[in-house]
Amino acid sequence: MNMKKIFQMGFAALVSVSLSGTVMAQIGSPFIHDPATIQECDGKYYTWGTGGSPLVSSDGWVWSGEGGARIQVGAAPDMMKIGDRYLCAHSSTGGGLGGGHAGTIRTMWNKTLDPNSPDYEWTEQIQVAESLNDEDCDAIDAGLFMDPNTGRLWVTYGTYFGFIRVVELDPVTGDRAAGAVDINVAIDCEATTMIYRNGWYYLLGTHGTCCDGVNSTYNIVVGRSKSPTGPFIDNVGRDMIEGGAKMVLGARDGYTGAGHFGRYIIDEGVEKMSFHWEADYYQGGRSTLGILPIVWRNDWPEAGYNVKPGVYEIESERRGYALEIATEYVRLQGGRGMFGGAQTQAPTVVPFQKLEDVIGNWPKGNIDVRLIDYQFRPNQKWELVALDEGTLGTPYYKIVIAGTNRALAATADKELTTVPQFTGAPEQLWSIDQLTDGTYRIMPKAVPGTNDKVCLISIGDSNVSLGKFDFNDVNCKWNFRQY
Amino acid sequence: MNRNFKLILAVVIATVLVGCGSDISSKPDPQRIANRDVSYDQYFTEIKADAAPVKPDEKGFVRRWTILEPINKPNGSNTVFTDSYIQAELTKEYFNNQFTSNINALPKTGESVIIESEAPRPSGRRLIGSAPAGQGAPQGQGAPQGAPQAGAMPPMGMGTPATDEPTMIKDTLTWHSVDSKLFNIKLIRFATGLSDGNKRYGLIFNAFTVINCEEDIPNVRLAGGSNAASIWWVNGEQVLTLQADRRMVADNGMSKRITLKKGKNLVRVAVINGPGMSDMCMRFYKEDGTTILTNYTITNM
Repeated sequence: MNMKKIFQMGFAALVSVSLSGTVMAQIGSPFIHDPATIQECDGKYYTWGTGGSPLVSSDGWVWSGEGGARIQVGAAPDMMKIGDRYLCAHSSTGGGLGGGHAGTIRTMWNKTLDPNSPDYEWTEQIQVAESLNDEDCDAIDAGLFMDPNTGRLWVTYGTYFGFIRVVELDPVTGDRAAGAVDINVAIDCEATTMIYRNGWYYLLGTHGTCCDGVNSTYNIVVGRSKSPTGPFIDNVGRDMIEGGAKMVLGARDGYTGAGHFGRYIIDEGVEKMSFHWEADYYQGGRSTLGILPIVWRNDWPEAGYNVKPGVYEIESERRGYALEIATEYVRLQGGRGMFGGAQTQAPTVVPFQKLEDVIGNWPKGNIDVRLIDYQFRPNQKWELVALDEGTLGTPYYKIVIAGTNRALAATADKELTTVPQFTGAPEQLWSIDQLTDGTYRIMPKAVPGTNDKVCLISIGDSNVSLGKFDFNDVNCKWNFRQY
Repeated sequence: MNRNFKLILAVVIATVLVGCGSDISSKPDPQRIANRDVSYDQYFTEIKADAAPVKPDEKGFVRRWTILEPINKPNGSNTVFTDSYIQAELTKEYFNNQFTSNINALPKTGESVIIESEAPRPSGRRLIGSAPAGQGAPQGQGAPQGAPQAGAMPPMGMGTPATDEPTMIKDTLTWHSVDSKLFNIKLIRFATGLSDGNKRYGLIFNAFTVINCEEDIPNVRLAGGSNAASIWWVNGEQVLTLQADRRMVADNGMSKRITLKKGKNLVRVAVINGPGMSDMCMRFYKEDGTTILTNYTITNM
C-alpha cells in the first residue's frame, strides 16, 4: 500500500468521523443543485440536479454520483413515477436574470432509472411549455404534480422573472393536455411544485437569493388553495400572485439557502422533503442534498428535525413515561425538603444520581427495557450516536445508556433488550424518523430471523415491544427530550 | 395516594378552612353520595367451586378470581417495592403447592392453609420493609443516618421509627372464588370485608383464574394493572412484573407475546401493598391492540 493510498484512507476516515455527528445533510458525496424529487427504482434512490448530474444512494443516507447516469437536461429537472414508467420534466434556461427569458419545459419517459438495465432508454423529448424572450415568465424549474383526487397531471414552472404558471399535462403521453391553458398562480418564486394533503393543494416554491454560496438566502415557502389552479394563499391571507408565502425552511446552523422542494411519502405519517442547501459549511460551502422530515402543523408543512446526537430521555407519546433499562431502583438519600414553614438553612443542591453510583450493581448480561416515570436516573439516559449509514433522510443511530456501550437491541422474538456491548449488528441499529405530527418513529434496521418491518411500540403504559407501525396508533410514537 | 399523606392534607386543609372562618361539617352528607357502603357484598359475589363458566366483561376484563385471604406483610411505606424486593416477597412460598402449575391441584373455594407471617404492626409505628440496604427502605432501618431533619416531612407512609424485629404469627387463610362486581378486583375490600376491618394495609394477595380456550390463541398479551406492585404468571411462566409504588391503571403493563393454549390456562397473580388502596385488573390483548372478548371462558378450576 503506497503512502498516497494510506493518506487517502486516513482522510476518508477523518471525513467519516467528522460527518458522523451531522444529521442535516446527506453524507458521502451529496453534491447537487436543484435536485429532482427523489425516486426509488429497484432498491436504489435517484435524483438529478441542474445539468443532469445524478446522485444515487443504496440506503437514502449515503449519496454519491456513482451508479447513476447523467441525463441530457438543462436546468432543474423533476421526476415522477406514473404507473411503471418514470416521467422527467426539465427545462432549458432562458439566460438568467440579465439574459433572455426564452425558456422551455420538456418531458420524457424511461422505464427504469438504472443505467445498467437493458430497459434504460429515454423517449424523445416533448416541449410542453415555453416563454418568449421577453414576457413576464421564464419557463424553467418544472415541478410535476399528480392530483390524487382526479388523476390529472400538472406541471408548474417559472422563475423570478414574472409569473409562476401551471398547466395540465396528459399523464399517458406527458404532452400538454388537449386544450390546456397556462395559468398564472404566483410571482417572486423559483423551483415550484405542488403537493396535496387534507383537502388542500399546496404550492411550494423558493424565495430569496440563489447561487451565492454561504451568503445565499434561498428559502422554501408555501401557499395553499382548494384548487390546483389557485389562488394560493399564505397564512396571513396574501395571494402568492401578490408575493405572499409562508416559510417552510431557510437556514440552519452550518447550512444556508434551502431550495427546490420535493416530497417523498414513505408511509402514512412519514414524509420527507428533499432540497438542496446552497452552502454546506461542513463541505466547503458546496451545494449539497438535504432531506428532512415534513411536519404538518395546523395543515401547514414545516421542515422537521432529525434527532441530533446527544443524550436524551426517550419518552413514550402514549403515557409520557420514560424508557429505562430494568435495573434495581436506587433511592437517593436526603433531598427531602420541608413542605412549608420557615427555612432555617440556605438550600443546597441535591446531588444527581450518577452512573458510577449504580452501574456496579447492574447485571452484566442483557437487561430488559421498560417504561416508567422519568427521574433523570442513569438507567433512563440514552445517548444517540449517528452512524455512517441510514435510511432515506436519516442516519442509523446506536442507542446506548449514556456513559456505557450498553445498546438497545431487537430480539428474535420481536421484543427488546439491551446488550452489554454495542457490536454494530443490524438489530442494534435504529432509524429514527420524525413523523408528520412531530413525534418520532424508532425502527430497528433488522430483527433476527424475520424480514418484518417493525418499530418500537408501547405495550401498556409500562412495557415496550416491537410491532407494526401505524401512524394512527399512539403506541408507535416517541419523543426525545433534553432538559 | 398514601393514607398518611391524605391525613396530613386533611389536617392542613381543615386548618386553613377553620382559619378562614368556614363552617365545615365533620359528618358526610348521606344524601350527597348514593352509596357509601364498602362491605364485601358490594364488590364480590362468592361462587361455588363448580360454578358455570363466565366470559370476560364487555371490555375484556377478567372478573372471576380465586383469592386467598391476604398474608400480612407490614410495610409502612410503598417505596420499598423495588424489583428485587417484590421478586423476593411475591415468590416466597408460604405453604406447599402455593405456586403449582397443575390445574388439578389448585385449591378450591373454602379450603384453607395455615401459614406463618409477620404480625401486623400497631398503628402509629413505623413499619419497615426489608428491601436491600440502601436500595429500598427509606432512610435505613431505624438508623439515624439520613433521617429526616427536624421540621422536614417524613416519607409518605412513615410513622415513628421502630427498632424491634417482626413478630411471627400463625395465620389461617381461606381461598374464596369470587366474581367481581367491578371491572377491577378491589383487594382492599376483599381484605377488610373478610376480616372485619382488621386486615387493611401491609398485605400480600395471591389469586388465580383459569382461562379455558377453544383453540390456541397465539400472540396474546396479558395486560395488568395493580396497586401497588405485582407479578403475573401464565401457566407457570412469569410474564409481567409491575414494580414500584403504583396506582392501578388498566393496561398499566403488558406482557411479551404469549400463547394461550387450547384447554385450560392458569393465570396467577400476587399483589403487594403497604398503606393505601389496593386493587388489580387484568385482560388480554391481541397483537393488533384489540382486546380479546371471545374464544375463551373463565372458571375457578
